[in-house]
Amino acid sequence: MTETLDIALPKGRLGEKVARLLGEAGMGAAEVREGSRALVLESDDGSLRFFWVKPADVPIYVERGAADAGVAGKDVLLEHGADVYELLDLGLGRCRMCVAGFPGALERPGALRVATKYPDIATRHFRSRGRAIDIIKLNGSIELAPILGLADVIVDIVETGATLRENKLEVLEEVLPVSARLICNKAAFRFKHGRVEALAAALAGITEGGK
Amino acid sequence: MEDILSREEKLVRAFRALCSRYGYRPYRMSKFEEYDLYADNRGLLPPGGVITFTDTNGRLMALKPDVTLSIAKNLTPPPGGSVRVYYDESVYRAPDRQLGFQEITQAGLEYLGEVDAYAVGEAAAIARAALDAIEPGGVLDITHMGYINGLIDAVGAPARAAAEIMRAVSQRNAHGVRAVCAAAGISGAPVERLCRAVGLYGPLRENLPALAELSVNAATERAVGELTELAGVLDAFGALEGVNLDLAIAGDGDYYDGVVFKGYVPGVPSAVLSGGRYDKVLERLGKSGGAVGFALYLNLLERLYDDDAAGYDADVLLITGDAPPHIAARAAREITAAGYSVRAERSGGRCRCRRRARIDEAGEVEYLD
Repeated sequence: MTETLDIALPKGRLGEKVARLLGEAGMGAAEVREGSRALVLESDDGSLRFFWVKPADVPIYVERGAADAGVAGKDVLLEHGADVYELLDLGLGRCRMCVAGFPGALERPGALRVATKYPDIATRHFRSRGRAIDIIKLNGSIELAPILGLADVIVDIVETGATLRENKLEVLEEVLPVSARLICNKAAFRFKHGRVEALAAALAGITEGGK
Repeated sequence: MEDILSREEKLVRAFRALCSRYGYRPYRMSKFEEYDLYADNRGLLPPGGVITFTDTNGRLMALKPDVTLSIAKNLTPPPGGSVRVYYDESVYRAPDRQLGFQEITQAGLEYLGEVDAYAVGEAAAIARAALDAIEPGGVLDITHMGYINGLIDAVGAPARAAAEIMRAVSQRNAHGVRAVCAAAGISGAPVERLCRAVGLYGPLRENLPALAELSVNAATERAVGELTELAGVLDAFGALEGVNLDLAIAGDGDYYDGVVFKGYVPGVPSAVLSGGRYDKVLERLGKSGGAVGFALYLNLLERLYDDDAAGYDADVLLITGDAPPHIAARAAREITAAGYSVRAERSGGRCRCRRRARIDEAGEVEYLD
């Protein structure tokens, strides 16, 4: 009997896109196609099992071995510092992690007040530039922070930049490009090696990251 | 005797027997050491900080965050000879900042002296056998720091980019290697060669020709030679089965040089064994010669050994009821004399036993099932 490969998918648009890709690769689940709201789904041939989990939790499921593989954004991986293999850049959900604020905000003397959902990434970015900062951890509506004077700049994901423009903010520095990655538990890579490689190869064949 | 040992204790016993078979001697050490040792060698310590305290004489001391550094500092092999020791000890550090300091139990062995292919192969063969003692079906993955460093040198990246490339290699992240190289203005055959090497995984001996084909300089040639020799020694020990080549385990460059290995067993999501050649540590301590060793992380096996918790408290639950203490004692003695363990309780209670017995009116043991 073949052992099931457990895959953690991020809830939301990205996860649904990956599930569709898996379907195209012949690894899909009928429940996905039918729009089921079940948290655990099985592929048609029973060889894969999918879990829908909060995007930020995917690396934890994979690192701790509750899932053998998963799909997570590079932003989440860097912030969590997960000890996992990053097998493939799926090229999905492309965006940028940026420093944004009002024009000239970076020229402010002294410690820079930085509002962000990503304190580790922000700290590493400014430390590499030798800049003193004061991190303000927020969980949403980050763009409000400079408008209300809570912070000088923000470090956040920028997709189109429309929200920034509407609020007269602009991208001041790019921190890193972000896209979805196929990740794998280190023990699962060894004990389910053939299955993991087959999954990576199938996804590489149909995503731009694999080209 | 076997029955009263937990699986972890049985494993430690098997590990001791394994090491003794190859002339390794037990080594006991104090739980703490002068802090200076760690302050002077921070780069050689695993991540996770050090717990310090002031001794009665005013000296700053530290609870050991690592065993190898203490052994390398305190033991010196005789000229032309070697020191071979094994240990099972606790170390204290905080590998996960959010969880704070933890007691990490580990067992391991260290070889100090002139290191040749036999010494490395012997340590790797013991590591392989130790994995079998934990759980059948484990794998020992092997790499060579000289090989991966040689490939990265051939890429010609500046030092900071080289560190990022090494990080990407340890994540088996070929697209990350390409991205770092592209950002440093580097592309072409050396980069693609490195990416191919990152993708190699499988039985050591079968992958040696691919390693030789991707070799680029004297350092990689030497590494291929050492790995080939190691495969031969492991084969001769009958320990080559389940030994894989995996260049992505080359992450701890400050500590290890030469051959590095990590062990995994089914049911545990991370490496339970880590080791390799660490001549650099001796060099940093001002000592000559080489060293090779490994540690088994026993605390990671707790989940694997959960079934211990489902075991029995005793073979026989002896329900003594109102029997006088000396009658209960005589009955308990009778049961243990028959070779069974016994737990005496006034009533049944919550006791997990194979059989239940009571004391009848004549003071005799009467089995109920």
